[in-house]
Amino acid sequence: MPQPTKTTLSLAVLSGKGGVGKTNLALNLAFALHKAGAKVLIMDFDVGLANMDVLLGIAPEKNLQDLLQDGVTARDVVVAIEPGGLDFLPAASGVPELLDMDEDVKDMLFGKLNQVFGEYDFLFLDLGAGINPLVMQVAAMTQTRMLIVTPEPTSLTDGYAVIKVLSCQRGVRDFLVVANQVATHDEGKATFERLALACKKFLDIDIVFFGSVLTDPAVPRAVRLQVPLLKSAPSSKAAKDILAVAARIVRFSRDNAENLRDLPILKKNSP
Amino acid sequence: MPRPKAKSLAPASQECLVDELAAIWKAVLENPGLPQDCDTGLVIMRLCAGLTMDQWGELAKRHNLSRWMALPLAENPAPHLVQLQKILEDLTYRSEHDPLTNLANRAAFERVLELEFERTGRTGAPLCLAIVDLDDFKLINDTHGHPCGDKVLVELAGILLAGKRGYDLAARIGGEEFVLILPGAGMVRALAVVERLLEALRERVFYCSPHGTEPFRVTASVGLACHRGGAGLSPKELFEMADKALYKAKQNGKNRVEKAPLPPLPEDIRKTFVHSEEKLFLFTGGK
Repeated sequence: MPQPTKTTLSLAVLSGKGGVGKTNLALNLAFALHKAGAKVLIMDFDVGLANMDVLLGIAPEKNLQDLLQDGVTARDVVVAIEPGGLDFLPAASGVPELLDMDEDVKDMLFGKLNQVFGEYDFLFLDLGAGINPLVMQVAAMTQTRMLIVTPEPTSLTDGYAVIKVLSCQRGVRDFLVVANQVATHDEGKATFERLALACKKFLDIDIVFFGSVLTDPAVPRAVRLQVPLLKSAPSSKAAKDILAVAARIVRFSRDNAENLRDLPILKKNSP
Repeated sequence: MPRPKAKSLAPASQECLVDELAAIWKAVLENPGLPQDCDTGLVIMRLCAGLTMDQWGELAKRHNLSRWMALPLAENPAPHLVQLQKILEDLTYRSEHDPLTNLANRAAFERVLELEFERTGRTGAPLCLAIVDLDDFKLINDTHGHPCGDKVLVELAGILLAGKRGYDLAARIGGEEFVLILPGAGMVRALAVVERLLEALRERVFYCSPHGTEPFRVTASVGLACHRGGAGLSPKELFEMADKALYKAKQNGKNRVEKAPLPPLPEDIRKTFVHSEEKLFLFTGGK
């Protein structure tokens, strides 16, 4: 049962561009936090093109689409991927209609999800890439957002577009940025700085750097093995970087505990 | 004792009654100073023995007395209420329809356009307006006579009704000016509907009176304007855009449809547009 004093931090993981390692990062960050003793729920919200189950090497029976049915609760759909509180809620691949969810369906869905959210310390919503309305709407509902970029210029412009759309259309101004697939940590910092400068100059938004993750052959290897990196290669370079990001998330959660208590886990907003 | 059979009110007396009513109307009720919804006042009645409901119905129709209410003395009021209801329905219909073509009239068109604008404002679905104006209609009237002209109008109305979708509105808003409201349609679909209607009109051959006028054909010009949906445009503005397009169609040779330019994108969308200077900055770091 959710305790009134416990705080749940909800995080939407975004990227403008696809293929920047968003899903992988979301998964492994959740793993890292769980290893540190937290209860985490990851939701694959890449509605229509779900992939997290592939990374996990599982074939869940039920998914988000089932949750739309009468009588199905969030508990029925959630799958435990590690004992002691690392749970996963799968999306549904190949159902483009889910992208067109009308407001009543969304309302019902989030109503059911809210029943279980409070049980976790962290809630990761792995959203789809891009700026489609569903992604933007859900990104505005979480308490904070993590944007994944890579040093590649198009990933920066796409990431910038996400920030611009969310800030201009939905008044969202807080973004935690992780630079993924960097050659060196300096490159990661430089990548972040370029994005930060643009955001400050054109949007008057201050984005926060949460670290960079080195390119590492251990990552594609883990994907092929269908085992999370932090499980199969916890001492790899990338894994260490991910642990560092996770540590920052924990600090962030602690530092903002007061505010978080007042915020709903998922804000109901106007479509 | 049996009741004496009621004598019918004589026609002369009926005429007197009509005159009296007209006089009362002029004297009392046409007075503009009287408040409409006053709850103090009098109902001034007059007994009209011998006048039946049917006779009253006839009088009312002939002398435009429908604004007066009549109650039967001894009979069941139901037939009267039914008749009153019929009168109300008839009046309502006439207030919203063009008598010649039975299409919606201008008042109805404006009312529906307001509603559709409200709907489109909320849903963000597109809305199109097509103004259809018969080409050289004066010539048709002059050449073939006004009754013939009327026939053409009625035929065109028929084409509009047949070619439109169930939830589109076809209205006659001027002598030879018609309009179509096409909710939920964007420019592409609306254009297809209009082209079909114009083609149907082109193919129609008109035969008028047997006075030897030859069969003839008729064309129309159309001005088509579309609203993308959401806020930012008024019904009046959309109508003016369609009207301008219609003018262009006439200028460009008639028998065609001209499209108004699409209205500018709403503020919202332009706000999030990533400009090239922003992209350049991200690519080059401002150097």
